[in-house]
Amino acid sequence: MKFWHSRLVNRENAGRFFTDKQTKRVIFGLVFIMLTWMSAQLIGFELPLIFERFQPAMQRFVKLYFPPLFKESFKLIDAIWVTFLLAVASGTIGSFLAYFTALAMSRTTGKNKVLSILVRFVTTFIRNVPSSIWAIILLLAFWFGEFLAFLVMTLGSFGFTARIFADMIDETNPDSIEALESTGANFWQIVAQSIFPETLPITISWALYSIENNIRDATIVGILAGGGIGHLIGIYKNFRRFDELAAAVICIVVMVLLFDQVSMYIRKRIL
Amino acid sequence: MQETVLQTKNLTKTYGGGTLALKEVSFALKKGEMVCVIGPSGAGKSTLLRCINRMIEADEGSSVVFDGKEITSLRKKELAQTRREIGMVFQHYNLVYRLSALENVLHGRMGYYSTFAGAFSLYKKEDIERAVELLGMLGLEERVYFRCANLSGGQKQRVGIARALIQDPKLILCDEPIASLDPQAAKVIMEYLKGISAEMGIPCLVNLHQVDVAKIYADRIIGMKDGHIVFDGPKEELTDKRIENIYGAKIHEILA
Repeated sequence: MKFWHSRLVNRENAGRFFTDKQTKRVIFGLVFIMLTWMSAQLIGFELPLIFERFQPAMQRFVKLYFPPLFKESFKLIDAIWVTFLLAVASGTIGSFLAYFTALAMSRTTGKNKVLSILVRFVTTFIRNVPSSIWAIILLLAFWFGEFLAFLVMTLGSFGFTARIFADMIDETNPDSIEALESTGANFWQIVAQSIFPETLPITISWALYSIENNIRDATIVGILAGGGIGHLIGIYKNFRRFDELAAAVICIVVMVLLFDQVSMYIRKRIL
Repeated sequence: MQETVLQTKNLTKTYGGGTLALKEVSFALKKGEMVCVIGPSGAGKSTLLRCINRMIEADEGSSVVFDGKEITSLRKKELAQTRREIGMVFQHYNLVYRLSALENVLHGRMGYYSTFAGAFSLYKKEDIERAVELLGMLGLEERVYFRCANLSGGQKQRVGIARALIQDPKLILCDEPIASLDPQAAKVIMEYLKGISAEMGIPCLVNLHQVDVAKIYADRIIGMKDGHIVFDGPKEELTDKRIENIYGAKIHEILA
Protein backbone atom coordinates (compact mmCIF):
# COMPACT_ATOMS: atom_id res chain seq x y z
CA MET A 1 0.00 0.00 0.00
CA LYS A 2 1.59 3.13 -1.22
CA PHE A 3 -0.27 5.62 1.02
CA TRP A 4 0.17 3.61 4.21
CA HIS A 5 3.04 5.48 5.78
CA SER A 6 4.28 4.16 9.09
CA ARG A 7 5.42 7.06 11.21
CA LEU A 8 7.25 6.99 14.50
CA VAL A 9 4.71 7.90 17.21
CA ASN A 10 5.93 9.07 20.59
CA ARG A 11 3.70 7.23 23.05
CA GLU A 12 5.03 8.94 26.14
CA ASN A 13 3.95 12.33 24.82
CA ALA A 14 0.37 11.12 24.38
CA GLY A 15 0.25 10.00 28.02
CA ARG A 16 1.58 13.34 29.18
CA PHE A 17 -1.22 15.11 27.35
CA PHE A 18 -3.68 13.85 29.99
CA THR A 19 -1.49 14.34 33.07
CA ASP A 20 -0.93 17.94 31.92
CA LYS A 21 -4.64 18.46 31.55
CA GLN A 22 -5.37 17.05 35.03
CA THR A 23 -2.65 19.19 36.64
CA LYS A 24 -4.24 22.26 35.09
CA ARG A 25 -7.62 21.32 36.56
CA VAL A 26 -6.19 20.87 40.07
CA ILE A 27 -4.38 24.22 39.89
CA PHE A 28 -7.57 25.91 38.70
CA GLY A 29 -9.55 24.42 41.60
CA LEU A 30 -6.96 25.52 44.18
CA VAL A 31 -6.90 29.07 42.82
CA PHE A 32 -10.69 29.19 43.00
CA ILE A 33 -10.77 28.10 46.68
CA MET A 34 -7.95 30.56 47.55
CA LEU A 35 -9.84 33.47 45.95
CA THR A 36 -13.05 32.64 47.85
CA TRP A 37 -11.21 32.43 51.16
CA MET A 38 -9.24 35.64 50.52
CA SER A 39 -12.30 37.69 49.62
CA ALA A 40 -14.16 36.35 52.70
CA GLN A 41 -11.24 37.51 54.85
CA LEU A 42 -11.10 40.92 53.19
CA ILE A 43 -14.75 41.80 53.82
CA GLY A 44 -14.66 40.33 57.33
CA PHE A 45 -17.15 37.64 56.49
CA GLU A 46 -17.03 34.93 59.12
CA LEU A 47 -18.28 31.64 57.77
CA PRO A 48 -19.14 30.02 61.15
CA LEU A 49 -21.64 32.79 61.84
CA ILE A 50 -23.85 31.51 59.04
CA PHE A 51 -24.49 28.35 61.04
CA GLU A 52 -24.61 30.07 64.45
CA ARG A 53 -27.18 32.67 63.51
CA PHE A 54 -29.13 30.56 61.07
CA GLN A 55 -31.77 29.40 63.55
CA PRO A 56 -32.78 32.80 65.03
CA ALA A 57 -32.87 34.31 61.55
CA MET A 58 -35.17 31.59 60.32
CA GLN A 59 -37.44 32.01 63.34
CA ARG A 60 -37.76 35.75 62.68
CA PHE A 61 -38.45 35.07 59.00
CA VAL A 62 -41.25 32.61 59.76
CA LYS A 63 -42.76 34.92 62.37
CA LEU A 64 -42.88 37.85 59.96
CA TYR A 65 -44.15 36.18 56.81
CA PHE A 66 -46.17 33.17 57.89
CA PRO A 67 -48.90 32.42 57.37
CA PRO A 68 -49.30 34.52 54.20
CA LEU A 69 -52.48 36.56 54.41
CA PHE A 70 -54.67 36.82 51.30
CA LYS A 71 -56.73 39.70 52.70
CA GLU A 72 -57.16 41.94 49.65
CA SER A 73 -57.52 39.13 47.12
CA PHE A 74 -59.38 41.25 44.58
CA LYS A 75 -56.75 43.98 44.70
CA LEU A 76 -54.03 41.34 44.41
CA ILE A 77 -55.54 39.71 41.34
CA ASP A 78 -56.06 43.11 39.73
CA ALA A 79 -52.43 44.06 40.42
CA ILE A 80 -51.01 40.80 39.09
CA TRP A 81 -53.14 41.22 35.93
CA VAL A 82 -51.69 44.71 35.42
CA THR A 83 -48.21 43.28 35.97
CA PHE A 84 -48.86 40.58 33.40
CA LEU A 85 -50.07 43.12 30.82
CA LEU A 86 -47.11 45.39 31.51
CA ALA A 87 -44.69 42.48 31.14
CA VAL A 88 -46.24 41.31 27.85
CA ALA A 89 -46.43 44.80 26.38
CA SER A 90 -42.88 45.78 27.33
CA GLY A 91 -41.48 42.37 26.37
CA THR A 92 -43.02 42.35 22.89
CA ILE A 93 -42.35 46.01 22.10
CA GLY A 94 -38.80 45.79 23.49
CA SER A 95 -38.10 42.65 21.42
CA PHE A 96 -39.68 44.16 18.32
CA LEU A 97 -37.45 47.23 18.49
CA ALA A 98 -34.49 45.05 19.41
CA TYR A 99 -34.93 42.97 16.24
CA PHE A 100 -34.45 46.02 14.02
CA THR A 101 -31.56 47.21 16.12
CA ALA A 102 -30.00 43.77 15.86
CA LEU A 103 -30.20 44.00 12.05
CA ALA A 104 -27.99 47.09 12.24
CA MET A 105 -25.67 45.47 14.80
CA SER A 106 -25.15 42.08 13.15
CA ARG A 107 -22.11 41.47 10.99
CA THR A 108 -24.26 39.72 8.38
CA THR A 109 -26.76 42.52 7.85
CA GLY A 110 -25.18 45.65 9.36
CA LYS A 111 -23.47 47.03 6.29
CA ASN A 112 -23.12 50.55 7.67
CA LYS A 113 -20.14 50.38 10.02
CA VAL A 114 -20.73 53.77 11.68
CA LEU A 115 -24.37 52.99 12.41
CA SER A 116 -23.41 49.53 13.65
CA ILE A 117 -20.87 50.89 16.16
CA LEU A 118 -23.23 53.64 17.30
CA VAL A 119 -26.12 51.22 17.86
CA ARG A 120 -23.83 48.76 19.63
CA PHE A 121 -22.69 51.49 21.99
CA VAL A 122 -26.23 52.62 22.80
CA THR A 123 -27.58 49.11 23.41
CA THR A 124 -24.57 48.14 25.52
CA PHE A 125 -25.20 51.22 27.64
CA ILE A 126 -28.91 50.45 28.03
CA ARG A 127 -28.18 46.84 28.85
CA ASN A 128 -25.56 47.55 31.46
CA VAL A 129 -27.70 49.91 33.50
CA PRO A 130 -29.86 47.67 35.73
CA SER A 131 -33.61 48.22 35.56
CA SER A 132 -33.75 49.42 39.17
CA ILE A 133 -31.33 52.22 38.28
CA TRP A 134 -33.36 53.05 35.15
CA ALA A 135 -36.44 53.33 37.38
CA ILE A 136 -34.68 55.80 39.67
CA ILE A 137 -33.23 57.83 36.78
CA LEU A 138 -36.45 58.01 34.79
CA LEU A 139 -38.58 58.75 37.84
CA LEU A 140 -37.41 62.35 37.58
CA ALA A 141 -38.62 62.74 34.00
CA PHE A 142 -41.73 60.52 33.95
CA TRP A 143 -44.24 60.39 36.74
CA PHE A 144 -44.54 57.42 39.09
CA GLY A 145 -46.94 54.82 37.73
CA GLU A 146 -47.67 52.15 35.12
CA PHE A 147 -46.16 54.03 32.20
CA LEU A 148 -42.82 54.40 33.94
CA ALA A 149 -42.82 50.69 34.86
CA PHE A 150 -43.60 49.88 31.21
CA LEU A 151 -40.78 52.13 30.01
CA VAL A 152 -38.23 50.65 32.39
CA MET A 153 -39.12 47.07 31.51
CA THR A 154 -39.11 47.89 27.77
CA LEU A 155 -35.57 49.21 28.13
CA GLY A 156 -34.60 46.04 29.99
CA SER A 157 -36.10 43.73 27.35
CA PHE A 158 -34.67 45.82 24.55
CA GLY A 159 -31.11 45.89 25.84
CA PHE A 160 -30.92 42.21 26.49
CA THR A 161 -32.74 40.88 23.42
CA ALA A 162 -30.93 43.25 21.03
CA ARG A 163 -27.64 41.62 21.93
CA ILE A 164 -29.06 38.10 21.68
CA PHE A 165 -30.81 38.80 18.38
CA ALA A 166 -27.62 40.24 16.89
CA ASP A 167 -25.74 37.07 17.84
CA MET A 168 -28.62 35.00 16.51
CA ILE A 169 -28.55 36.77 13.13
CA ASP A 170 -24.77 36.34 13.01
CA GLU A 171 -25.19 32.61 13.51
CA THR A 172 -27.95 32.21 10.92
CA ASN A 173 -26.81 30.35 7.84
CA PRO A 174 -26.00 33.07 5.28
CA ASP A 175 -26.38 30.73 2.30
CA SER A 176 -29.96 31.69 1.51
CA ILE A 177 -29.03 35.37 1.76
CA GLU A 178 -26.47 34.79 -0.98
CA ALA A 179 -29.08 33.04 -3.10
CA LEU A 180 -31.57 35.89 -2.73
CA GLU A 181 -28.90 38.48 -3.51
CA SER A 182 -28.07 36.57 -6.68
CA THR A 183 -31.69 36.81 -7.85
CA GLY A 184 -31.64 40.61 -7.49
CA ALA A 185 -33.50 40.92 -4.18
CA ASN A 186 -32.89 44.03 -2.10
CA PHE A 187 -32.02 44.36 1.60
CA TRP A 188 -35.53 44.44 3.11
CA GLN A 189 -36.73 41.66 0.84
CA ILE A 190 -33.83 39.51 2.04
CA VAL A 191 -34.56 40.38 5.67
CA ALA A 192 -38.24 39.51 5.30
CA GLN A 193 -37.83 36.42 3.14
CA SER A 194 -34.71 34.80 4.55
CA ILE A 195 -33.49 36.18 7.88
CA PHE A 196 -36.92 36.63 9.44
CA PRO A 197 -38.34 33.15 8.73
CA GLU A 198 -35.06 31.45 9.69
CA THR A 199 -34.82 33.27 13.02
CA LEU A 200 -38.53 33.42 13.90
CA PRO A 201 -38.69 30.48 16.36
CA ILE A 202 -35.63 31.63 18.32
CA THR A 203 -36.91 35.21 18.28
CA ILE A 204 -40.26 34.18 19.76
CA SER A 205 -38.52 31.97 22.28
CA TRP A 206 -36.37 34.85 23.55
CA ALA A 207 -39.27 37.31 23.51
CA LEU A 208 -41.18 34.89 25.75
CA TYR A 209 -38.17 34.60 28.03
CA SER A 210 -37.94 38.37 28.26
CA ILE A 211 -41.64 38.53 29.23
CA GLU A 212 -40.96 35.96 31.97
CA ASN A 213 -38.05 38.06 33.10
CA ASN A 214 -40.25 41.15 33.15
CA ILE A 215 -42.82 39.47 35.42
CA ARG A 216 -40.02 38.74 37.87
CA ASP A 217 -38.56 42.21 37.40
CA ALA A 218 -41.98 43.80 37.90
CA THR A 219 -41.58 43.45 41.67
CA ILE A 220 -38.55 45.65 42.10
CA VAL A 221 -39.55 47.94 39.22
CA GLY A 222 -43.00 48.29 40.74
CA ILE A 223 -41.59 49.21 44.14
CA LEU A 224 -39.39 51.90 42.59
CA ALA A 225 -41.48 53.08 39.65
CA GLY A 226 -45.03 52.10 40.56
CA GLY A 227 -47.52 49.93 38.76
CA GLY A 228 -48.80 46.41 39.21
CA ILE A 229 -47.95 43.96 41.94
CA GLY A 230 -44.63 45.64 42.70
CA HIS A 231 -46.41 48.80 43.72
CA LEU A 232 -48.57 46.78 46.10
CA ILE A 233 -45.49 45.08 47.55
CA GLY A 234 -43.96 48.51 48.14
CA ILE A 235 -47.06 49.61 50.06
CA TYR A 236 -47.14 46.43 52.16
CA LYS A 237 -43.46 46.84 52.96
CA ASN A 238 -43.85 50.49 54.03
CA PHE A 239 -46.79 49.65 56.28
CA ARG A 240 -45.05 46.56 57.64
CA ARG A 241 -47.85 44.27 56.45
CA PHE A 242 -45.43 41.38 55.92
CA ASP A 243 -47.97 38.56 55.88
CA GLU A 244 -49.77 40.25 53.01
CA LEU A 245 -46.44 40.89 51.31
CA ALA A 246 -45.77 37.15 51.46
CA ALA A 247 -49.14 36.56 49.76
CA ALA A 248 -48.17 38.97 46.97
CA VAL A 249 -44.83 37.20 46.48
CA ILE A 250 -46.66 33.86 46.24
CA CYS A 251 -48.89 35.39 43.55
CA ILE A 252 -45.83 36.36 41.52
CA VAL A 253 -44.28 32.91 41.87
CA VAL A 254 -47.54 31.30 40.72
CA MET A 255 -47.74 33.75 37.81
CA VAL A 256 -44.17 33.01 36.74
CA LEU A 257 -44.72 29.26 36.98
CA LEU A 258 -47.94 29.48 34.97
CA PHE A 259 -46.39 31.65 32.29
CA ASP A 260 -43.40 29.31 32.17
CA GLN A 261 -45.76 26.44 31.32
CA VAL A 262 -47.53 28.47 28.64
CA SER A 263 -44.34 29.65 27.01
CA MET A 264 -42.90 26.14 27.13
CA TYR A 265 -45.98 24.91 25.28
CA ILE A 266 -45.66 27.69 22.68
CA ARG A 267 -41.96 26.92 22.22
CA LYS A 268 -42.68 23.24 21.66
CA ARG A 269 -45.25 24.10 19.03
CA ILE A 270 -43.10 26.49 17.02
CA LEU A 271 -39.71 24.76 17.15
CA MET B 1 -22.88 30.47 -35.39
CA GLN B 2 -24.56 30.70 -31.99
CA GLU B 3 -24.75 34.07 -30.29
CA THR B 4 -22.40 34.79 -27.42
CA VAL B 5 -24.14 35.30 -24.07
CA LEU B 6 -21.14 35.83 -21.86
CA GLN B 7 -17.66 37.06 -22.58
CA THR B 8 -15.01 37.67 -19.92
CA LYS B 9 -11.74 39.43 -20.62
CA ASN B 10 -8.76 39.71 -18.29
CA LEU B 11 -10.94 38.75 -15.34
CA THR B 12 -8.64 39.12 -12.35
CA LYS B 13 -9.37 38.86 -8.65
CA THR B 14 -6.94 39.52 -5.82
CA TYR B 15 -8.21 38.87 -2.31
CA GLY B 16 -7.19 41.00 0.63
CA GLY B 17 -3.77 39.81 1.71
CA GLY B 18 -2.61 39.56 -1.88
CA THR B 19 -3.90 36.08 -2.72
CA LEU B 20 -4.36 35.93 -6.46
CA ALA B 21 -7.54 33.91 -7.06
CA LEU B 22 -8.06 34.67 -10.74
CA LYS B 23 -5.51 35.85 -13.24
CA GLU B 24 -6.58 37.27 -16.59
CA VAL B 25 -9.31 34.75 -17.24
CA SER B 26 -10.88 35.14 -20.67
CA PHE B 27 -13.53 32.90 -22.13
CA ALA B 28 -16.85 33.05 -23.95
CA LEU B 29 -20.11 31.21 -23.45
CA LYS B 30 -22.61 30.68 -26.26
CA LYS B 31 -26.34 30.16 -26.20
CA GLY B 32 -27.33 26.60 -25.29
CA GLU B 33 -23.83 25.61 -24.29
CA MET B 34 -23.06 23.47 -21.27
CA VAL B 35 -19.60 24.25 -20.01
CA CYS B 36 -18.02 22.49 -17.06
CA VAL B 37 -15.19 24.09 -15.13
CA ILE B 38 -12.86 21.59 -13.50
CA GLY B 39 -9.76 22.02 -11.39
CA PRO B 40 -8.37 21.35 -7.94
CA SER B 41 -9.73 23.05 -4.83
CA GLY B 42 -8.50 26.62 -4.64
CA ALA B 43 -8.03 26.91 -8.39
CA GLY B 44 -10.54 29.78 -8.49
CA LYS B 45 -13.62 28.01 -9.88
CA SER B 46 -16.03 29.43 -7.29
CA THR B 47 -14.46 32.88 -7.49
CA LEU B 48 -14.83 32.83 -11.27
CA LEU B 49 -18.54 32.06 -11.03
CA ARG B 50 -19.18 34.71 -8.40
CA CYS B 51 -17.25 37.38 -10.28
CA ILE B 52 -19.64 36.98 -13.20
CA ASN B 53 -22.72 38.19 -11.26
CA ARG B 54 -20.55 40.24 -8.91
CA MET B 55 -21.32 38.35 -5.74
CA ILE B 56 -17.56 38.91 -5.54
CA GLU B 57 -16.13 42.10 -7.00
CA ALA B 58 -13.39 41.51 -9.57
CA ASP B 59 -10.29 43.71 -9.76
CA GLU B 60 -10.10 46.94 -11.71
CA GLY B 61 -9.54 46.32 -15.41
CA SER B 62 -11.56 43.11 -15.58
CA SER B 63 -14.32 42.88 -18.13
CA VAL B 64 -17.46 40.75 -18.04
CA VAL B 65 -19.89 41.31 -20.88
CA PHE B 66 -23.23 39.61 -20.36
CA ASP B 67 -26.00 39.96 -22.93
CA GLY B 68 -24.25 42.98 -24.42
CA LYS B 69 -23.84 44.80 -21.09
CA GLU B 70 -20.59 45.44 -19.28
CA ILE B 71 -21.36 44.05 -15.82
CA THR B 72 -18.31 45.37 -13.98
CA SER B 73 -19.38 49.00 -14.42
CA LEU B 74 -23.05 48.60 -13.46
CA ARG B 75 -24.47 50.55 -10.56
CA LYS B 76 -26.24 48.92 -7.63
CA LYS B 77 -29.73 49.12 -9.10
CA GLU B 78 -28.69 48.10 -12.62
CA LEU B 79 -26.71 45.24 -11.13
CA ALA B 80 -29.79 43.94 -9.27
CA GLN B 81 -31.75 44.18 -12.53
CA THR B 82 -29.07 42.24 -14.39
CA ARG B 83 -28.85 39.61 -11.66
CA ARG B 84 -32.51 38.81 -12.33
CA GLU B 85 -31.40 37.35 -15.65
CA ILE B 86 -28.66 35.14 -14.20
CA GLY B 87 -29.76 32.05 -12.30
CA MET B 88 -27.53 30.49 -9.70
CA VAL B 89 -27.46 26.96 -8.30
CA PHE B 90 -25.39 26.20 -5.22
CA GLN B 91 -23.64 23.22 -3.65
CA HIS B 92 -25.55 23.65 -0.38
CA TYR B 93 -28.80 24.53 -2.20
CA ASN B 94 -28.99 27.84 -0.25
CA LEU B 95 -32.71 27.54 0.43
CA VAL B 96 -34.64 29.08 3.29
CA TYR B 97 -35.32 25.83 5.09
CA ARG B 98 -38.25 26.99 7.17
CA LEU B 99 -40.19 28.02 4.07
CA SER B 100 -41.98 25.76 1.62
CA ALA B 101 -40.60 24.66 -1.73
CA LEU B 102 -43.10 26.98 -3.43
CA GLU B 103 -41.97 30.05 -1.48
CA ASN B 104 -38.34 29.25 -2.20
CA VAL B 105 -39.00 28.97 -5.91
CA LEU B 106 -40.80 32.33 -5.88
CA HIS B 107 -37.68 33.91 -4.38
CA GLY B 108 -36.38 33.72 -7.95
CA ARG B 109 -38.88 36.44 -8.93
CA MET B 110 -37.96 38.74 -6.03
CA GLY B 111 -36.06 41.19 -8.23
CA TYR B 112 -39.26 41.96 -10.16
CA TYR B 113 -41.23 43.04 -7.08
CA SER B 114 -41.25 46.23 -5.06
CA THR B 115 -39.66 46.08 -1.62
CA PHE B 116 -43.07 45.96 0.03
CA ALA B 117 -44.65 43.35 -2.24
CA GLY B 118 -41.51 41.21 -2.10
CA ALA B 119 -41.12 41.42 1.65
CA PHE B 120 -44.76 40.48 2.29
CA SER B 121 -44.91 37.76 -0.39
CA LEU B 122 -47.58 39.51 -2.48
CA TYR B 123 -46.76 37.44 -5.55
CA LYS B 124 -48.62 37.67 -8.84
CA LYS B 125 -50.95 34.82 -9.69
CA GLU B 126 -49.07 33.96 -12.87
CA ASP B 127 -45.77 33.72 -10.96
CA ILE B 128 -47.29 31.35 -8.42
CA GLU B 129 -48.75 29.21 -11.18
CA ARG B 130 -45.42 29.17 -13.00
CA ALA B 131 -43.64 28.13 -9.79
CA VAL B 132 -46.02 25.19 -9.31
CA GLU B 133 -45.59 24.25 -12.96
CA LEU B 134 -41.79 24.30 -12.66
CA LEU B 135 -41.87 22.18 -9.50
CA GLY B 136 -44.05 19.74 -11.43
CA MET B 137 -41.59 19.70 -14.34
CA LEU B 138 -38.85 18.78 -11.89
CA GLY B 139 -40.90 15.96 -10.39
CA LEU B 140 -41.77 17.76 -7.16
CA GLU B 141 -45.52 18.13 -7.70
CA GLU B 142 -46.15 16.38 -4.37
CA ARG B 143 -43.64 18.50 -2.48
CA VAL B 144 -44.94 21.98 -3.37
CA TYR B 145 -46.05 22.87 0.16
CA PHE B 146 -43.36 20.87 1.99
CA ARG B 147 -40.92 22.73 4.15
CA CYS B 148 -37.52 22.58 2.46
CA ALA B 149 -35.96 21.27 5.67
CA ASN B 150 -37.97 18.07 5.16
CA LEU B 151 -36.78 17.44 1.59
CA SER B 152 -33.94 15.13 0.54
CA GLY B 153 -30.71 16.53 -0.89
CA GLY B 154 -31.70 15.83 -4.47
CA GLN B 155 -35.13 17.39 -3.94
CA LYS B 156 -33.56 20.48 -2.36
CA GLN B 157 -31.31 20.90 -5.37
CA ARG B 158 -34.30 20.57 -7.70
CA VAL B 159 -36.01 23.37 -5.77
CA GLY B 160 -32.79 25.34 -6.29
CA ILE B 161 -32.97 24.68 -10.04
CA ALA B 162 -36.65 25.71 -10.12
CA ARG B 163 -35.71 28.95 -8.34
CA ALA B 164 -33.13 29.62 -11.05
CA LEU B 165 -35.53 28.69 -13.88
CA ILE B 166 -38.38 30.92 -12.72
CA GLN B 167 -36.02 33.85 -13.26
CA ASP B 168 -36.27 33.12 -17.02
CA PRO B 169 -32.50 33.42 -16.96
CA LYS B 170 -30.23 33.98 -19.94
CA LEU B 171 -27.47 32.17 -18.08
CA ILE B 172 -27.29 29.71 -15.20
CA LEU B 173 -24.25 29.49 -12.95
CA CYS B 174 -23.88 26.25 -10.99
CA ASP B 175 -21.39 26.05 -8.15
CA GLU B 176 -20.65 22.38 -7.43
CA PRO B 177 -24.32 21.43 -7.87
CA ILE B 178 -23.78 17.72 -7.18
CA ALA B 179 -20.96 17.78 -4.61
CA SER B 180 -23.32 17.06 -1.68
CA LEU B 181 -25.54 14.54 -3.44
CA ASP B 182 -25.59 10.76 -3.70
CA PRO B 183 -24.68 9.35 -7.13
CA GLN B 184 -28.27 8.73 -8.17
CA ALA B 185 -29.52 12.22 -7.22
CA ALA B 186 -26.38 13.65 -8.84
CA LYS B 187 -27.25 11.99 -12.13
CA VAL B 188 -30.82 13.36 -12.00
CA ILE B 189 -29.52 16.89 -11.41
CA MET B 190 -26.94 16.68 -14.21
CA GLU B 191 -29.61 15.37 -16.61
CA TYR B 192 -31.84 18.35 -15.76
CA LEU B 193 -28.99 20.81 -16.26
CA LYS B 194 -28.13 19.18 -19.59
CA GLY B 195 -31.77 19.43 -20.61
CA ILE B 196 -31.92 23.08 -19.61
CA SER B 197 -28.96 23.97 -21.80
CA ALA B 198 -29.81 21.75 -24.77
CA GLU B 199 -33.59 22.12 -24.91
CA MET B 200 -34.27 25.52 -23.35
CA GLY B 201 -31.13 27.01 -24.86
CA ILE B 202 -30.00 28.48 -21.53
CA PRO B 203 -26.22 28.21 -21.25
CA CYS B 204 -24.97 26.62 -18.03
CA LEU B 205 -21.58 27.21 -16.48
CA VAL B 206 -21.04 24.35 -14.05
CA ASN B 207 -18.21 23.97 -11.54
CA LEU B 208 -17.43 20.34 -10.94
CA HIS B 209 -15.03 18.20 -8.98
CA GLN B 210 -15.83 15.05 -10.93
CA VAL B 211 -13.84 14.92 -14.18
CA ASP B 212 -15.76 11.86 -15.39
CA VAL B 213 -19.09 13.66 -14.93
CA ALA B 214 -17.77 16.67 -16.83
CA LYS B 215 -16.70 14.37 -19.66
CA ILE B 216 -20.19 12.89 -19.92
CA TYR B 217 -22.31 16.04 -19.80
CA ALA B 218 -20.21 19.00 -20.93
CA ASP B 219 -20.16 20.36 -24.44
CA ARG B 220 -16.96 22.08 -23.54
CA ILE B 221 -14.61 21.82 -20.59
CA ILE B 222 -12.56 24.55 -18.99
CA GLY B 223 -9.67 23.42 -16.83
CA MET B 224 -8.40 25.79 -14.16
CA LYS B 225 -5.26 25.77 -12.10
CA ASP B 226 -3.96 28.50 -9.77
CA GLY B 227 -6.41 31.06 -11.15
CA HIS B 228 -5.53 30.44 -14.79
CA ILE B 229 -7.37 28.69 -17.55
CA VAL B 230 -5.02 25.90 -18.58
CA PHE B 231 -7.45 24.08 -20.84
CA ASP B 232 -10.47 25.22 -22.84
CA GLY B 233 -11.89 22.94 -25.45
CA PRO B 234 -14.36 20.21 -26.37
CA LYS B 235 -14.40 17.23 -24.01
CA GLU B 236 -12.81 14.98 -26.62
CA GLU B 237 -9.62 16.98 -26.39
CA LEU B 238 -9.33 16.52 -22.63
CA THR B 239 -6.66 13.83 -22.65
CA ASP B 240 -5.11 12.16 -19.60
CA LYS B 241 -2.05 14.30 -20.17
CA ARG B 242 -4.15 17.48 -19.92
CA ILE B 243 -5.96 16.24 -16.82
CA GLU B 244 -2.55 15.62 -15.25
CA ASN B 245 -1.62 19.19 -16.08
CA ILE B 246 -4.82 20.62 -14.54
CA TYR B 247 -4.54 18.71 -11.27
CA GLY B 248 -0.77 18.72 -11.03
CA ALA B 249 -0.74 15.00 -10.29
CA LYS B 250 -0.23 11.74 -12.16
CA ILE B 251 -3.40 10.26 -13.71
CA HIS B 252 -3.26 7.13 -11.47
CA GLU B 253 -3.38 9.42 -8.43
CA ILE B 254 -6.65 10.98 -9.59
CA LEU B 255 -10.05 9.39 -9.14
CA ALA B 256 -11.42 10.26 -12.53
